[in-house]
Amino acid sequence: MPTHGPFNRRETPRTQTPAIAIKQVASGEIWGRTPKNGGLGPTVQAYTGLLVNQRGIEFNTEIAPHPNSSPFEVRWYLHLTAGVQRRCEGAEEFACITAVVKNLQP
Amino acid sequence: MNDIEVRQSMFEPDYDVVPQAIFWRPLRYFTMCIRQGEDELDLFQAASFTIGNEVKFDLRVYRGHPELTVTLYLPDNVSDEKVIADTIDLVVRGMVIPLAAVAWRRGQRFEYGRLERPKADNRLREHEARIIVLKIAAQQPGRSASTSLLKREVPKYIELSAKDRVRSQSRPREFLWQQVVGNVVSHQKSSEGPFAKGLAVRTADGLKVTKEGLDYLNDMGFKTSP
Repeated sequence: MPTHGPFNRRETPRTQTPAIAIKQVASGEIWGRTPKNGGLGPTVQAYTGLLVNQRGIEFNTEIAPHPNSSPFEVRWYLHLTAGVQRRCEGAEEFACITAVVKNLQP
Repeated sequence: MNDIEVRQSMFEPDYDVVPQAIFWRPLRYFTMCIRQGEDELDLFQAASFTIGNEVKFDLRVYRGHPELTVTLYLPDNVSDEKVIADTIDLVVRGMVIPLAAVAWRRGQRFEYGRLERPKADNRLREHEARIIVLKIAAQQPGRSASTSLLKREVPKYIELSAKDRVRSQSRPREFLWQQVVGNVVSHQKSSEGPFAKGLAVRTADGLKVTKEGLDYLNDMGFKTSP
């Protein structure tokens, strides 16, 4: 399978914390929530390219991003993007992609 | 002067958005009323706009986007290729964005993480300089700005190319882009200039934006205050 990437997510206090990064490396999975306004349902979102001089994660994945991505951003939608898996935690549904993740927010 | 009226909306969108085009201009080029936001991707700065009752769009710059770029986002329910293309055209015309400033638009091939910077032979043209000068002056006290202030501020609105940074032959102490900005103020009788069109009046050391000038900027969505 061809790999896609590198992609990255930047550290944030809410959606990309150091604790989440540890989970992502250990599980080889990146999960994404449904956007605040609903959008197209649970979505994994990331920047394209390497993470330069910033905290966050870098990753590669065998799952091709959704075609509505841009040169700067990529998205994977549950139910819409091939290869995206469903995960649940509590009552919340997540989109999940498998990835090789490098932790740059230790 | 422009048959398309772009209006900035003070309301955050109640829908999710999808990136559809990228411009080689910073967000401040389009408005000074900028809000902070955060979504599942990251922290961002944004402004929301409308054209008529139908067209809604956001201009956003996320922390991870390259400097001096802004991304055009349309509502996620806009997925028809022709509608997307027509809307991008409308935004480009309505906001008077030079075609050379369109870095990418939906339908064009691209590589993730790669976008060629503007060509080295791109340069600031007097038509665009006239608008930038008005935008800068409109934010100053009394809507007035000196030529020297304009020349200090212009690089915050546009990425100057190698050609812009060539020494002027007629004014060797200036770069070409500085001469272009200076010409906007000094060419008072130019029929295309801001003075002949009533958008500004000359002051002792620069120009002052008129009410008509502010309306002209507002019609392309540019606001200096909420």
